[in-house]
Amino acid sequence: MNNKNSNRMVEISGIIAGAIGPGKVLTDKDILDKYSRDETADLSLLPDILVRARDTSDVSAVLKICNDNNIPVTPRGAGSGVTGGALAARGGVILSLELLNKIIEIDCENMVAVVEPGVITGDIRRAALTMGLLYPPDPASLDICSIGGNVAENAGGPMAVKYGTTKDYIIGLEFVLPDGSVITTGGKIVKNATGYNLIGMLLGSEGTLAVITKIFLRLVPAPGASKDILIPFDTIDEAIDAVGAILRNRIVPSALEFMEEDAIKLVSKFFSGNIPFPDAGAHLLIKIDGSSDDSILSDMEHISEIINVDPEKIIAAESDIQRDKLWKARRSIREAIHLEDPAFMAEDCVVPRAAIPAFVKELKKFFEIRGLKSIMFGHAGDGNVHVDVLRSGRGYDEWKMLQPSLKEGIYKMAISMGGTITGEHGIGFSRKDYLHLALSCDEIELLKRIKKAFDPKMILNPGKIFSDDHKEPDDSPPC
Amino acid sequence: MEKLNISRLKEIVGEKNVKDDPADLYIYGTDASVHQAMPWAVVRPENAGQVQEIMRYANSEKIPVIPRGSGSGMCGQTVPVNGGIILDMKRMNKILEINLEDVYCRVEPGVIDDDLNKALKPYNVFFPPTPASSIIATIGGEIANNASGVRSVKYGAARDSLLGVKLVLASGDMISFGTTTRVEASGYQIERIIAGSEGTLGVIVEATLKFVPLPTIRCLGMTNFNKLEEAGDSISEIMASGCTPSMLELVDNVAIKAINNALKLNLPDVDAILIFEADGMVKEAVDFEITKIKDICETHGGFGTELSFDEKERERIYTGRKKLFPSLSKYKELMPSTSLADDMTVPYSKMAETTRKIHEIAKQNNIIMSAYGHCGSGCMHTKILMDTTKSESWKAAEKAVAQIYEYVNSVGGTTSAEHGIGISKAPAFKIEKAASLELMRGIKKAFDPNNILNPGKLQDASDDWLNATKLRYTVSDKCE
Repeated sequence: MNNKNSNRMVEISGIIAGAIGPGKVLTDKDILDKYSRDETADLSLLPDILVRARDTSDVSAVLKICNDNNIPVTPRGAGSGVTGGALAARGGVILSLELLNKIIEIDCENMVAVVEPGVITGDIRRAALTMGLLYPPDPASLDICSIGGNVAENAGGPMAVKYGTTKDYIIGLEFVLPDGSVITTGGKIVKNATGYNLIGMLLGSEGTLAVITKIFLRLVPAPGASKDILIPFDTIDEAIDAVGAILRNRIVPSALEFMEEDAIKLVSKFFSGNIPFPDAGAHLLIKIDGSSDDSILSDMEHISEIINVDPEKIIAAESDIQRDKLWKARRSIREAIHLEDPAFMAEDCVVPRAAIPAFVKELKKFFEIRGLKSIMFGHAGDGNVHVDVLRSGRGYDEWKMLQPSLKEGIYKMAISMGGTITGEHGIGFSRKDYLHLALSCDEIELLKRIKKAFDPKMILNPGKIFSDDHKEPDDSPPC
Repeated sequence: MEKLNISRLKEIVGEKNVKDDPADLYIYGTDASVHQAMPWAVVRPENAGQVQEIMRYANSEKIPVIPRGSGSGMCGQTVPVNGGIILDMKRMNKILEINLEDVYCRVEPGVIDDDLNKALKPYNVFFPPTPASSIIATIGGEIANNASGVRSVKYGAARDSLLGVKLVLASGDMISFGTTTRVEASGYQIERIIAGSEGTLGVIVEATLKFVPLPTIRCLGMTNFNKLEEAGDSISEIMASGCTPSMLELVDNVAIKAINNALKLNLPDVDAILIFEADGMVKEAVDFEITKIKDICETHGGFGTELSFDEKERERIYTGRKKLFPSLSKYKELMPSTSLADDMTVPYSKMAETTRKIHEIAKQNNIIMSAYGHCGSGCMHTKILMDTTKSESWKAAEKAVAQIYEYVNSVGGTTSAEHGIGISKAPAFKIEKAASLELMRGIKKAFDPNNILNPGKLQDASDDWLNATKLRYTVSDKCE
């Protein structure tokens, strides 16, 4: 940071402190350093100022000041993102929403939760469950991610196969535009055909269009009963065939997770071999829920009839302890990878469900040729494949150099099979140079014009989603 | 109109697919709303390439283009307030793909809802948003209005079933957003704003839709209530009880009288009727739900409950609700039902209160209003029954409409549940969305810089619906 910029930032932090109170504005080096990272492997982007907003009017004041002074603002929830979405790519202000962390209301009569964006998603889930209601989206980071971040990334999770992703539960938002104006759209209502769906625009917009300050979530009745089973298969093809057979037979499980051979091996090593079926070629974890035990039983019987597996080999869990045992391997994959080597690459492509085996095998080949080890697992029911690539002994610089070509290879393969480059984690910073693989030039131009309609001075989370958002939409070179 | 080059249009789609005869234009100048305005021409494209060419021509000449399906909209969405070209999408009616393995289908926008469901039925799956008008409504129109219907309480609206769209922009560029997969987080979710955009942002030329398993077992029930509030309390309790009814309909006394007059069904002359359905694959599970719903209704004073799993019986029980819409004009002689204040959403805890309020506002303004709706999703429909030949009826209706939406707004509801905004609900919409109108105009401009796509609707519509266009009715005492 040069001196001129540094003086300017001192001045801006003074103006913000004057407007919302000094205690909420921080510029200490140690703290800024902490906020220069999220869960994205190997990425650090330093902000100049950290603001911890406490309410909507703080957010509005900060945005107005920054907009008037052309200072970049990057909204941030719990910092659990894995594509650098909440990092200050162009410096300026990190607007933390961690302290907007109240569950304002759980309205049982209308089955709606009203929450602030900084609330941890798992806390909403637990609060709703005590009232017999369910907030279904369950990203793996449930206990560390915030609901505002889930909306901004349109987060998913295992239960998406039955219940959908975050987008299916947001029925109202309060948000602040870069000029400081506060807009409320939707509310405690389910049906809504009232003009442009601004909620839909903000979902997955990764903090580039507005800052969300209040969220209305639709809740559903918590299922009365549920059961989990783990089924081992010899090959990934057999596992995914079984998924197809289950869905074709009109059974909609509330989770359908798969792990391929290398993922199983790695986790098995992590637990010293103490997991169910450590030698299988693939695991399928299935959860069935419903209003009564009868309906679940009938679905379970049906599943064992239609899949070609020795019923003796199916492990079922009904108690929480048994359940945790079954899910142990699936839930610990990331931890196991991390232990192996913290510098790994994590992608989350989507392909049509039936293409999962081909996708996994082709990608494995692609990595093997390059002498790289890969781990794949994910949400089989909706074709969401997590692709984690290990450094496999490469030096740091070489690994860095290698990544762009690996990413491009993975994305191109997903797209060629009719899929897309990210299912849950967004584009953010680390994938912005690849958006053109998923979208055409005309499509990207339209997105940029929309960005401009929300944020004419391009101050909100600049340097994300688009590789060249500092250029005027119409100035961009034709692709 | 003078700038419209008819022969250019004929070059693109062929002679017989361009209409400019006044009789045709008259038909295409109205829909199911109270509005009417004359277009300059009707053009019927056969494929996306023709749509692109038409848009390029219209954009260069700044001629308004109004995409239209079957014209079953209730609020004037396809009425050409500034003239221009009506783009009749009904020839683009091919079902392009039904993919069972990945559970989606791709269709052209002119496919009729019922035809799609007929095509899906052999595979034991269905496309669930299905509005009451499914016999004529096109998929394109349903997406553009984010339509829904009686089963949306369980299965959601058009937006919830939409996985992706292919869109021709005003510039003629073709773009596509969304995927055939269930989860996606690549950039802004354009398909979600297209649902409900009423033809103002782009022309839908293809949609990718998800479908769901067709339930094998259904059970329908009907219960009578002497007091509306008892029905209202039942609704909230049913929704919070853990049940997911596949239908939960409220019918008020005005509607009951109208149905009895029209169909001689001899329904009891009670304050309210609730009709409910549970569906599923397992008899025990459906039984469990329907019994729970019935018990809740009866705890709150519901009586004379009828229940049936049998298809014929279910049809009989449902007859009144099914024919409610045409029956309303039979409530009283010379009091036709008009599509005004036709739909709204309120929190479901407010359904009974809203119904009372509607009756009260009707009484104050000396008109008759019926309230009924998909109460499991907080959706209320009304119709104004009035002597449409008298200008004083229209004045009264204008006042009642404004009062109703003021109330809806005050309880945290919204102007439209499933019919959209168009022209007749625009004044209420503009009050509700006052803080975001500028933003919406910015979004419109990002898609359509020359404002040629369905101009004069939504945020750009008139604040005075009554005088925004001609009325589809003859008002005999009106001083012109």
